[in-house]
Amino acid sequence: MDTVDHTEFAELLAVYSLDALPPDEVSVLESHLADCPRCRAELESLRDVAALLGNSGVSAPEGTWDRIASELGVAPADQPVPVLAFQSRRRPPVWRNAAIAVAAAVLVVLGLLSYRMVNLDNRVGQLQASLGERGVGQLVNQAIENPASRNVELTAKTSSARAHVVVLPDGTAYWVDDDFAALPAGHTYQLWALASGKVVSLGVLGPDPHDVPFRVEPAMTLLMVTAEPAGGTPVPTTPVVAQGAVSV
Amino acid sequence: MNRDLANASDVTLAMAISRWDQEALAEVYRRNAGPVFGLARRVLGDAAVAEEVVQEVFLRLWHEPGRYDPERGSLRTFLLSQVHSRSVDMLRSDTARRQREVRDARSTASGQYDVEHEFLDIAVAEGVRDAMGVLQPGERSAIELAYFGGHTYREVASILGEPEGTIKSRIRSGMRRMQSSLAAKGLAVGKMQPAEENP
Repeated sequence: MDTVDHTEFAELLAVYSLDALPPDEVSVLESHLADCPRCRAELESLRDVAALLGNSGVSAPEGTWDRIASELGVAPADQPVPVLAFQSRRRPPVWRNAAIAVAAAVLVVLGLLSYRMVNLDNRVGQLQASLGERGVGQLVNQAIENPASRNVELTAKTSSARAHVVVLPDGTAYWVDDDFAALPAGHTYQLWALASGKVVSLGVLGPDPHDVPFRVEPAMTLLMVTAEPAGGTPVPTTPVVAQGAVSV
Repeated sequence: MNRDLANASDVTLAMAISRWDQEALAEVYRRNAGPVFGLARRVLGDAAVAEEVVQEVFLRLWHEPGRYDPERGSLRTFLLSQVHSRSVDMLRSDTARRQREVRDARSTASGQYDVEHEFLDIAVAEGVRDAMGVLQPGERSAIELAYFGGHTYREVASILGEPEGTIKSRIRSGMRRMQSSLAAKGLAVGKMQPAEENP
């Protein structure tokens, strides 16, 4: 990046950090930012300053949260819902005289669950991507060194396969590592928990997992891992590779 | 639920939100809604519209948690940045209102920032007050009009009757001065590039 660019863009970065750059100048700066880590770093610094200016101590109006919460509950049709909630609906009602209707309902439910599972994994994957490999690794190290954390070992009944999970008191957990064989392309390890008698998905781990964050809820008593098609499945479709008791 | 979200980190909360945990979003709201609403109201000058923006920003976090990058800063900074940007967009989309506010701003261009009464965190309040204190009067007016008034730098130049290049320079130098002051108190984590650009 040459000197002219930085001198020229330096003033624009400060203006941009205050959202005060006219729209016709924004695209020019943003295209430069896409290629210039130095300017991006400076912009982040300037945005920190701007955020402190805007950090006032008023209270939000009463009822605002209620209105937000009501929007969460009336999600659009393609909106995934919490894992625990949708897993509780995975067994459709069975009517003796409506076998065709049941079959159709099962297909619809499984299709919806598959879609939601992919969406769930996309959401978690996005955050993991934004955290970056180094960021998750640091968090895992901090969790391991945290005296309040607990180690959970997942073991196999018929082999020596083992996996190491660390769980913090607030339910934050990390798949640290394992000695599982890496899966071929198109497959992934998927983590499950037993919660109140139901098997719920905690997300996919990837074909060769390490440093994967997930969350343990108080109702969960057992962690299990299976090998599944890439993207994960709504319910386990293969035998459990390893399992271990957990609690928060 | 017995989970102790009250002490959870931003990363933990963001991870929980990515798994559709409404309690985690409620905790993020509890911690940040006040400042987020305060900034929207200050920029928009209308509590009802500000509340709409607050709802929009939190719902966007719910639907797109991956937009938050924990390595770049706190959730508070992220949400304030989001709400400011959205508030300014709304302000600029309302042409008649905009013209009225530009007119009003001409007569009240300075002395708008009552920092002593608006900050929740005393350490932050003192840090920001000190940082504002190091600004030259022209820098302060330009930054206040741009940030809290939601004006472009060209509009700020028109309001203050100064050349556009002067306003850009003042915003730049003022932000640098504040960043140095805040950094000295450990309040701004970012690092600015060396002052006079490249050798």
